[in-house]
Amino acid sequence: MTQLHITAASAFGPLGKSLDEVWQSVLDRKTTGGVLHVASGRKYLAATTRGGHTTNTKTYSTSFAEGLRSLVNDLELNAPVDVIFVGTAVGNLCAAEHEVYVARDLAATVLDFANLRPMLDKCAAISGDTEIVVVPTGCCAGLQAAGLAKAVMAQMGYRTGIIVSLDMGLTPLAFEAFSKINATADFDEDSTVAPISRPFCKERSGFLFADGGGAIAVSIDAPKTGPVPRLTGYGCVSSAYHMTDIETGGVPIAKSIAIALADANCDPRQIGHVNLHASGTQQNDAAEHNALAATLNGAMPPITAFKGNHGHALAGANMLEVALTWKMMTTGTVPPTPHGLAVDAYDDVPARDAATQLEPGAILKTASGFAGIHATLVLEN
Amino acid sequence: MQTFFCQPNADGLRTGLLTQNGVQHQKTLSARDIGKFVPRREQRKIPKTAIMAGVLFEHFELNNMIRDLGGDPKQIPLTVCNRYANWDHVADAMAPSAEVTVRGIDSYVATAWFPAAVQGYLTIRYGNTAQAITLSTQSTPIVASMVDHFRQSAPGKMAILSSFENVPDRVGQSAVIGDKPDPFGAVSLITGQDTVADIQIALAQHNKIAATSLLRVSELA
Repeated sequence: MTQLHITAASAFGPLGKSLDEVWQSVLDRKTTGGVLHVASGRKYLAATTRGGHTTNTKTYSTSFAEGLRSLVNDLELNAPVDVIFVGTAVGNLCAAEHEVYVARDLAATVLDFANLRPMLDKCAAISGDTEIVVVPTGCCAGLQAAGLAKAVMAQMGYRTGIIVSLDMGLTPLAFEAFSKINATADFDEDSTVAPISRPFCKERSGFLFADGGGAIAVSIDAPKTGPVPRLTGYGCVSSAYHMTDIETGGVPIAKSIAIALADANCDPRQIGHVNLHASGTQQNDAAEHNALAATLNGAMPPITAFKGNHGHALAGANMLEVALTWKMMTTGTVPPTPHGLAVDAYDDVPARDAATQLEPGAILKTASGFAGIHATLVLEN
Repeated sequence: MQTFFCQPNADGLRTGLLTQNGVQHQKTLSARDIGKFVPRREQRKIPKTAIMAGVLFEHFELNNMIRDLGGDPKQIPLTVCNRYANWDHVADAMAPSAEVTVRGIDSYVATAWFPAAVQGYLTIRYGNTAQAITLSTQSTPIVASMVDHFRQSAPGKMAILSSFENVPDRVGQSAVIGDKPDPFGAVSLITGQDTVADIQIALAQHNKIAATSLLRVSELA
């Protein structure tokens, strides 16, 4: 099967404006999150790339375009790629929302998820011949974009590409929509617990809404400069279970892992590390833990869950986490668990007080999203 | 390859089957007909694109057709093309004020607004656990390549290719201006006999439906 060589990575998030900054913050066990006052006059818990404790839709309305350009430019590619795959949950939502709030006519192009070329036209890595494909499937979209790239690049004759996922979704509409379904972390004025996402902790209470994203540059051909991390496997299934709830038995997630491992021709015993979706909800933790237990026959490898550091940037989280995983693979280092997280929900998923060496073997990266989508990547050095 | 389509009109939902010989089995379904396929209590929870999808599957009994063609409705890969999300679901709730807008946000916005709403609706309604993806792109070759890839390991080498759009004329007090597709839905059943070129033809048909006014629907083929 086709494998993609990952030649560069970029990211930004609430803990840093570049992949190196975010990586250092994760190594330093930093977390971020707090109360954000939104233009609707309401307060929510969030982790934001913009700093401060307030947002307004005017300044935020350009953030998706700016973020997309930044992720592509930070890959420092000096030639146009053949294709770019973009995963996102809400796309250019804030630009559209802002037009409505100021009662201006709304250009259909602003609503068009496929209309990214104007945002990218000054990027050296994007030319008029670069094909643009957007995967707007929510919190799994970045991994689905990677799966799409793996499936079609060779078949289409594309040699180079970018896979990016980004969400700048801290808008009044999105906050309220997630709040209405109790997906986001509880907001309690009197709470003494730090307002962060707490995957695999007994006291977890939902995801901490965040923004940010990540990108990787990929090529069909192995780089002449030497081996780089590779995307070797992809699996994706629909749970057909519920639009927002996860089947806590973990069967669909286990199935996506099995498909990805088969695609990579990889035995479960070869897995040396797992970077989980780990949104910080009770359901997600149970589903992922059960899926891993079933797949790995109880031999749980070290796990990372970066949403504990900087929250959940929807689809943006996918490639942000892949970029951090690429950092783990290129440095051979597994970061410690964030400060303030007990990581006490399961005996076989312990906290790490210090960075450790990355175990040899393949890395699994999982993600799950609304509509019951579960996807898994296999990454190998 | 068969492409089933629908277009909302003043009387309900105009449906038909697009073949090389033209449009066949045309019928306009009333609101009552639609309610039989997608119960009214469910309609308020999902966007119009998902309602159109449900109607197309039920009215044309597409799952029976999939079985007849050698596929498995519970294991058939699904590709949905959608570029404009589902703003219709929040169009009336939104206002030139974020404060007013959030008061109108209901519990279904998180799942009804986003482009993958149709994908989720169809997979859950029909218990389909195969791969499913939603794509927003002007690149029909990539979509065709993905559909071709999907069907390789599917029962009967079958896949579903669909497109759904419903851009409202207005969101809050803001008129939606500029070129946009007419509201429509299209579902093509891709079989093992279809080539990648055939899949691209199906996509071209979807795009024609999106750009064709109701009066000219007979010109689609």
